[in-house]
Amino acid sequence: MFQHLLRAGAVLGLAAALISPAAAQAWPDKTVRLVVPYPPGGNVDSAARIVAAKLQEQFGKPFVVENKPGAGGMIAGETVARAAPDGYTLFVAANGPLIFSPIIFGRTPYQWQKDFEPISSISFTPLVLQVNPAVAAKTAQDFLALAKTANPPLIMASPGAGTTNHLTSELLQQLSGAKWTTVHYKGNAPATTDVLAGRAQFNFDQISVALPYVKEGKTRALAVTSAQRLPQLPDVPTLQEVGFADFEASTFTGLFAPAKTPKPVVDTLSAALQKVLAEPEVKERFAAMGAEARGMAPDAFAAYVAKVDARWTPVIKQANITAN
Amino acid sequence: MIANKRDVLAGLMFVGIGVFVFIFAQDYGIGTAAHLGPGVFPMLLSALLTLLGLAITVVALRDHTRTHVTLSWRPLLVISAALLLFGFGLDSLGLFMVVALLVVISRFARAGENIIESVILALVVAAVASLVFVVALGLPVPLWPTF
Amino acid sequence: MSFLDNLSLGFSVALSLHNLAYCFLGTLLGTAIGVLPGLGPVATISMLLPITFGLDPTTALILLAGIYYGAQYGGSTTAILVNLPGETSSVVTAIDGYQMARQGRAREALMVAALGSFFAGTVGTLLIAAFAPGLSELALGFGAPEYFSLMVLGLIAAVVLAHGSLLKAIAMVVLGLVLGLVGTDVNSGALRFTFGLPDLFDGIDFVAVAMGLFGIAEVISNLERADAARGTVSLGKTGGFFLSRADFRAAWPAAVRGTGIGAILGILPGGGAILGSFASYMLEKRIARDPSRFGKGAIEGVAGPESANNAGAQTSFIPMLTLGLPSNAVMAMMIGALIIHNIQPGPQVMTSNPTLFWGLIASMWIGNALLVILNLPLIGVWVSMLKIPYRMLYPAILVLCAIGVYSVSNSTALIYVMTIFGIAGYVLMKLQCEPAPLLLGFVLGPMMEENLRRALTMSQGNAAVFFTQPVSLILLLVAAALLVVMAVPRAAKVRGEAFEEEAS
Repeated sequence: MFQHLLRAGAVLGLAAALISPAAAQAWPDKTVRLVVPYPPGGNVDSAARIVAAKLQEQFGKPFVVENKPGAGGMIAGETVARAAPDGYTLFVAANGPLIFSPIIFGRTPYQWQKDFEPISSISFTPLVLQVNPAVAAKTAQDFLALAKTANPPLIMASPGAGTTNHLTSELLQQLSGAKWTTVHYKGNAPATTDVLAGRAQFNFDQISVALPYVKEGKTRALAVTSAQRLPQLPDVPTLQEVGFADFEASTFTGLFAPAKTPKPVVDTLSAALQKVLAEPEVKERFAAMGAEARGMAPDAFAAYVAKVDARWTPVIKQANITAN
Repeated sequence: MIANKRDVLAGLMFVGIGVFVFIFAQDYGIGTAAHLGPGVFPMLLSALLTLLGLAITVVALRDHTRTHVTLSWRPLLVISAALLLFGFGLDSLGLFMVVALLVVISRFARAGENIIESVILALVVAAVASLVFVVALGLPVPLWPTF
Repeated sequence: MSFLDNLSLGFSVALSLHNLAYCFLGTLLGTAIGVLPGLGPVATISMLLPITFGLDPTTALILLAGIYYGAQYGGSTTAILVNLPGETSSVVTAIDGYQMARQGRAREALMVAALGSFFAGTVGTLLIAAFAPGLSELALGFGAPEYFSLMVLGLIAAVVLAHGSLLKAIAMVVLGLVLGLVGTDVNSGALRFTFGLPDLFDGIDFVAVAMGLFGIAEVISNLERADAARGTVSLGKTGGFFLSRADFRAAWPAAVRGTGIGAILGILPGGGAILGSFASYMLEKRIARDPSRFGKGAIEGVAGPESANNAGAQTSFIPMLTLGLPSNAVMAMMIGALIIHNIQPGPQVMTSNPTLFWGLIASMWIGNALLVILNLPLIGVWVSMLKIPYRMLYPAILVLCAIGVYSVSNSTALIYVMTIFGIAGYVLMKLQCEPAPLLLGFVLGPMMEENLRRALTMSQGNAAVFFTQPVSLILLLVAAALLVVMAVPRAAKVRGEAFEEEAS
């Protein structure tokens, strides 16, 4: 009995080994859709477009970016989760659509662990804690001390409830014990405007947005949320250096396939994507957007996403960020 | 008898929407002065809409202008159905087919249109739409039926 | 460098054959896209963005900018011809523009839109060139209290858009405000009136509402009329190529005033630009000797708002170029294009990339000139399209609406939303409730609520901020004055007369 099973298994394994390279070679034989959960023009969309053009070169088949914005990215996520797992419909996801939105909206059309096959990361974007120059604090430590005693409380301009920027602010409040007033805006631009004008004292901004203001002296950068200092702002300490061990907050973008997509396809794509993201020209493009281009093998990427999930889910729950 | 039926209906419509929204708005919080909850605006607006609706109704009841409302059901239903079918079929039937269907069906909105003209028009419009939107502009929709 | 040096540097860049070609391509594409309602400049620019990767940044920006104001301009064409506004600003143009077209004055309406836009574009460009750095301060000066008061003023002005019953117009504004509540509340992140439908989480889409209430409802209502088979509009006598002396005399002061209003509001990054065309319409109707003509094909009602719209489209470049702050989605895409080319947008662009900055500005003016050259001959083509029998035209209009609204977010859900608003629009038309005030309420409502609550949060619940901030106070006083003017008997009488005439 056991022998039979073993033999059957071996045969199956052999058959799979014979078939799968063929499957991997056959893919792609038609247009591959990259579904983006945001309207055209943002960071995630740009990342998808850069990558799509490169993958098209690699595979010789069209890679088309399709924007399906809405419901915190869940409309796009649902589309991909329900698509045929054949490697022709892929999800260019970020933290929000993948992990945060289902929790915040109390709606679980998909669970990333069950419904998606991580392929590779694409990019990582850290944030900068920047203050209006009128704020007296010159260091992050001074700033947190000031925030604890300030009356009226300092105002933090957030680009929207449930964004990485907002969650970073919540986490820092939870860890430091400081309390400030959070004011939400519709997107980055109006939030940044009020920090520049001094109506809000500070915010957490994407490095690409913050950098020109910091350089011009219109804002002051106090800390970065990445694990290492950023090459663009070598004098600005990380929040880990400031004393929050293990503090890391960045928006990642990554490529996902529907669950049950054949392993060879996932591996082929992952390898191609990692190669593309290592090209200097691609790295440079992402760097200009304030992001670090870095691919990962599927397993490593899955582990990374799990770590992000474990870090932020409790923050969302503790801060009671909910749409209902 | 009510003379100004049109305005009475308009007023009652506003009252209806106002009351409906007001009831739903109860679920959203009121908050505090510094942090107004998401329920404050809906409540204020729906109350205002209800009052305006009542005012329109009262004014209309005292008005002796004779008005009435007659809907032309045929174009209303045919056009709506044609558009809904377009949305429903787009992903499976492809753009060419749903455009052709939309044209043919919508032509039934008025009696006595020539069916052959409808079919020719449908083919022409579908061909142009396919060329402009899918081929030239790259709209991400299937062009032909997929099963 | 002096102002003239800057401009000549700009023109030397913009007039290179290469850049001129892309400027032309941009305005051409933009016009084509603007004419297709729903297919907004954002969708188009995103399709073309990959192409711009390969261009040098100045050329890329010239192309994108050309698409942007080309689309702003092209949008008015469909609004005038078939009552299909694809964006906020064309809603106002549709009111009197479409009526003009129905009276056989489509040529005049399109002509005045083209000339008004060109004039406004020229002034807007000059303003950017001369005052951009100084004006950026104005953009920063507007906070939550100021925006709230501006929105209040805008909403009160919205009532003027209607020409029927005052009570019904107010009720329609409020109904628009209520519709604007649907979706995720910006201030708290809470969902309101979404009934569990994820397609409503981001609110009801403006394009779907506008195309439903105007375009679809108009088609249904046209079809019930017995004479519909003969054509949408009577062509009337086509007249000369240019405007008649009387039309020109009526239109040019409106265009000048519209340009002024639009240019100022366009500088505000927080959505001031969309108020421009409404504000201009309100002003024209207010100062007209016979306000009852408005809504029935008054040429000032096209000239003013179109100029305001275009002036705003130009000056909204100011916060982007000087502060790196995008005032709308298209600007955000342009910033994206800059970033891809490794240029950090923001205050330093003017000094670090003078050829880009001044080249773009010069190309704006060239683009506007190209638009006029391109469009004046096209007017004849557009007008002749109205010769197509209505029985063949309306299915094509429906197709245009359906595809256009789908392309907004590549979702069939919006087609259903548009259909529902088409039905609602038809019923409202039967009840003689006008859709334009509703749309303005729908657009301004969310911003008003957002800024009211933000202002109160930032002032710790102290409502006095609205009166202690001078700009906010002035705006509120103007709003109050407007209310008083509207409430006085004379105005009411004029409205009443207009209402009587309307009875149909």
